[in-house]
Amino acid sequence: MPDDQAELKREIERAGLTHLTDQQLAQAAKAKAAAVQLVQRIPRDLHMYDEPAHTFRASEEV
Amino acid sequence: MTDYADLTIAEAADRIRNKEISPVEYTQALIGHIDAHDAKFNAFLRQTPDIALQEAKQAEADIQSGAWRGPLHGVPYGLKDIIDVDGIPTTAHSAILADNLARTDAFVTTRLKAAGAVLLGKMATHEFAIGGPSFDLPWPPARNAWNRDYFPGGSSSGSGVAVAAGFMPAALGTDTGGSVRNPASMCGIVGMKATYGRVSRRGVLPLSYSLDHVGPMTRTVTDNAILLNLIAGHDPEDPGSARVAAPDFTADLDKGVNGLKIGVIRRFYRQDFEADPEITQGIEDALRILADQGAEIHEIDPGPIADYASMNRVILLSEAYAIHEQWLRERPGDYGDLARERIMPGAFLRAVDYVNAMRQRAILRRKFNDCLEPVDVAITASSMDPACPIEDAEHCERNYGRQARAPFNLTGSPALAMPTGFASTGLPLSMQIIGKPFDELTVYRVARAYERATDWTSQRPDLG
Repeated sequence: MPDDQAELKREIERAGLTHLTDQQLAQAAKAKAAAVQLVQRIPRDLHMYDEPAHTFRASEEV
Repeated sequence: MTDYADLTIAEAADRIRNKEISPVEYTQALIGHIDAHDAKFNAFLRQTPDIALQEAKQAEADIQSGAWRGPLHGVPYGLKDIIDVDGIPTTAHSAILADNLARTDAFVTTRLKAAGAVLLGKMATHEFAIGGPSFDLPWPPARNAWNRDYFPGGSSSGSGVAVAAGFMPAALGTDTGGSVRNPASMCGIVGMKATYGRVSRRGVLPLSYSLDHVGPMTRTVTDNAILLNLIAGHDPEDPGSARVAAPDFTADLDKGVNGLKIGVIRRFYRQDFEADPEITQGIEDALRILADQGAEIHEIDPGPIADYASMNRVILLSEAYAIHEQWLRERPGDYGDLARERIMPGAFLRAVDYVNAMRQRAILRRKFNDCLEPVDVAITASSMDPACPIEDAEHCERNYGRQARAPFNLTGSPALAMPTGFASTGLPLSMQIIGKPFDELTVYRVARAYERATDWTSQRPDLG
């Protein structure tokens, strides 16, 4: 198995996906490529005061 | 002779209340219509005729004794098969949940039952509201009522087809990246994704907790507002439920658009995507109609659609993978190909990606709301193309991301898909009307003004 495929398989198995067929492994490779492309659009220069949209509010429980 | 399949909720409500039509006859007529035609369209995953007739008989008895409960009393409806009904399987159209019996009603189901509505069945969906159209699942995919060789949109595909085909005047779907508005657009009906938190998600199988919405799907704008009236409201058991009082969503339907300011987001369908010319023409014609009625049209620019769509996708996939991780580990082969392929990227997203996407979400939400501030509503495309041939997987996959719906799941804004006519192929065209947070009233007002000036929502497919 080529090194990059072996590395992908290790990465997938570390994620707990140990029951994939060859066809599903090929899907996982595409999935990884899709994820890599997606995260390129996430800004990495946000100001530390930029809080996430889901910041927990304890007052909601009152 | 009553054409029961053609009745709107408003028409049926009026005639049922006045005892001009019988809920039992209405239900029987629709069951007959379904039996005659649904084999071509697969809108239903599971019909519930026994329950329907029992509920119809109860409704009839109640109404005969003077206890009319409201506009959905005795009116048939369907639920996307990710919405729980006590004692009936909720399968998500997947082998994974083929035997999953719901043990309680979803919040929206409780509301429909209390209103005396009549459940016709559970409707076809994309697998887990993400994987479709799929031909490798225990049940076939739904097909477009305007042409069964075409995709009806998804993931609330069966709900969209059933309403368009006259199987029912009312259905509920869910919308995480566009899944009420997509089938509404492809099927030529009205679909509303209200403000996030407006409708409880309790008892609805989640795809993405912070992006999921439950929404009404109907043939007319008035019907849509009537149905949203029934299902909206705070639910203390849904952590995302908004503590905001729900108005009467029909209140402003007849106010017209004179003096309203409409912001058109052209960059989404002319620059970020190049929409099909017939889609664009439909939107521009709609703007002219609204301008003729006294609306002011202004162009607004909230920034590139990819900024919104990509954050929606990171959040969706992160949350969806968390939901599906165990099944994907233990039984990946029990998923259809498409659902597995679409959920798997979540395995490769890191916590820092999710957190930063959520930070960017807050920024984009403020940016969009600032952009909308000078106007009353926005209008843009829903789909960039009419429906694709359902068995052309490549074509459907190419069209999958060509849409402008996901941004408004990210921002939580109310957004409605509205028919704007038909393509030269005979397939429906549509646009999207987007409002300020919790201002569904103005969205409906604009939609109704446009609907009154056109006849798109009175068109019916020839089911053959």
